[in-house]
Amino acid sequence: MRWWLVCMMALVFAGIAVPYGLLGGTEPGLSIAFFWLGFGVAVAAMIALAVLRWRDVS
Amino acid sequence: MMAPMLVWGVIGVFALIGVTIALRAARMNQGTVGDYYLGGRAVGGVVAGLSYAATTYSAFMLIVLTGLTYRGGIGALGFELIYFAGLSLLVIFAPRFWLVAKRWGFVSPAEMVGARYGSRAVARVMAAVSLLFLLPYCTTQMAGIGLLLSGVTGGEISLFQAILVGAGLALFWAVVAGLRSVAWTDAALSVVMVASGVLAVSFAVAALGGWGQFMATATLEQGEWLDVPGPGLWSFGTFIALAFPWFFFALSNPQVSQRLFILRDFAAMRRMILWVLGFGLLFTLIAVIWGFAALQLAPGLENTSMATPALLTSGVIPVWVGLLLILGILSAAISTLDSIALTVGAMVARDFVRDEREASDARQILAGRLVMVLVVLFASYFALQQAAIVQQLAALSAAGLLVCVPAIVAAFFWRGGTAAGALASMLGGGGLAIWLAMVEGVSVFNPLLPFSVAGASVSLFVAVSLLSRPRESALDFKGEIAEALARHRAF
Repeated sequence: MRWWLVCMMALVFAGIAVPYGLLGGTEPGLSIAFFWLGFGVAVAAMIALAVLRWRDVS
Repeated sequence: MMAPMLVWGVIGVFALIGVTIALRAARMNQGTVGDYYLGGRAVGGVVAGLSYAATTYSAFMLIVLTGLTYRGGIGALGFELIYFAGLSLLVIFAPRFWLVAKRWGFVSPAEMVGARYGSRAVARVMAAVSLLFLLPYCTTQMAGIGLLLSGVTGGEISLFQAILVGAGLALFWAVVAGLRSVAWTDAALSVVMVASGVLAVSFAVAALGGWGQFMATATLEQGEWLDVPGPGLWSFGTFIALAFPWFFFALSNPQVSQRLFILRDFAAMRRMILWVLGFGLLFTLIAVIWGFAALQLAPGLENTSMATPALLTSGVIPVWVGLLLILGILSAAISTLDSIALTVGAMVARDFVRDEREASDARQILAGRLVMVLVVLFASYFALQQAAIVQQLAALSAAGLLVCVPAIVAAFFWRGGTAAGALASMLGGGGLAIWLAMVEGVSVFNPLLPFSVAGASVSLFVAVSLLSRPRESALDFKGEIAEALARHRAF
């Protein structure tokens, strides 16, 4: 749980810091759009990874 | 403009299908509270997932988020995806909500939190806070329906008529069979939402010369919109101010957290989350791409909330696709509205009306139904009046509902949390939110608002809990479900 939480927090932080800190204000282009698209996919993958380990026992 | 008769025709077919689904759902009702408000706690993952998604993704998406994209550019995508990342809270909290609800038979999230702290007052205050901030949010759904239908028909369908349609359908679908009819119609509506969105975006992009040309034009002519802070809206402060409270939506909004009680088993929970993830990501992309398409096909709009109606009537979207998208947006609004009405009804029935000394299922269902009628009437009336105070409260809803989060988190992770702490946190935080926004005039775009409210709410919870003692009747969620969590391999 601890590692998953750390990774998730880092991912959310990157989702804000990278566009605003690194990519913003550079040459007009699609870099921020593609970064956020990748961010969305990574978030979905992280959540899926966590719930797929659940065991359905009575 | 679209012919009003055509719009009325498709709404009629849509209503007929929804009413049929709701009536079929009603045949399965057993007359108990658990059955009416939670579908007998036996809902499968696909229906639950689509219902959760349709409830979460409201008319906000294709009206407001599209408008925010039109006005401020790509920052809208980032904001919505930070909200999407908030679904990660389900990994931690969904198993806990489900296990305790099953163990103690909770029906409303406020009832669950109240029982944890051994205080019905906590449940009632949480229900009252939810009512205060969710009712105005309902008016925005009604207003969205009005804006859309009057916008695409050039005012031929009046605000009153549009609201009447939304109110009638939401009320019927929620009242007739409770959660079962809401979940079934939600699932059908979610399919309309996504299918219409995909079709509409495909036609808009095709009209712009295909994906390559669309992106090339965006880069060359709207370069500023592809950047942050962009043309002005998405400053870092605004982004944080909006994204922070929305990140906690899955916990703070009872109409979605209550969905965690309805699931049949862990496999259904997993499937539900996976469906919400797929739907959420796709629908977010649809709303933002739609906004960029509107920027190219219908430039120069003064009121950016009109981006969707303007694009639908621009002539590049086939009429049948436009009509389908209208149904998609109508679906998004109604599915959110009826879910809120049902949850608010459940909270009043369980946290205010229920008598713990006697079984009173019929009375609780009747009370919930009456509350649902009142909620929809309230939303309709204030959407027609366009009252400033209601609009202010609606904008404040995400930050306002944040005050419930400390008590919810601590319910599962801190045995030292007390009823007094929970009450101080919700009352103090809620009071501060209203004072800042409505007396001091602090905008929801100002990060001072959500961070002050969250800071006050957390501080009050911790400080007052440390100064008071847990009640004898408080439940130990953490200890009671530890073994079950381990057995299910949940975090």
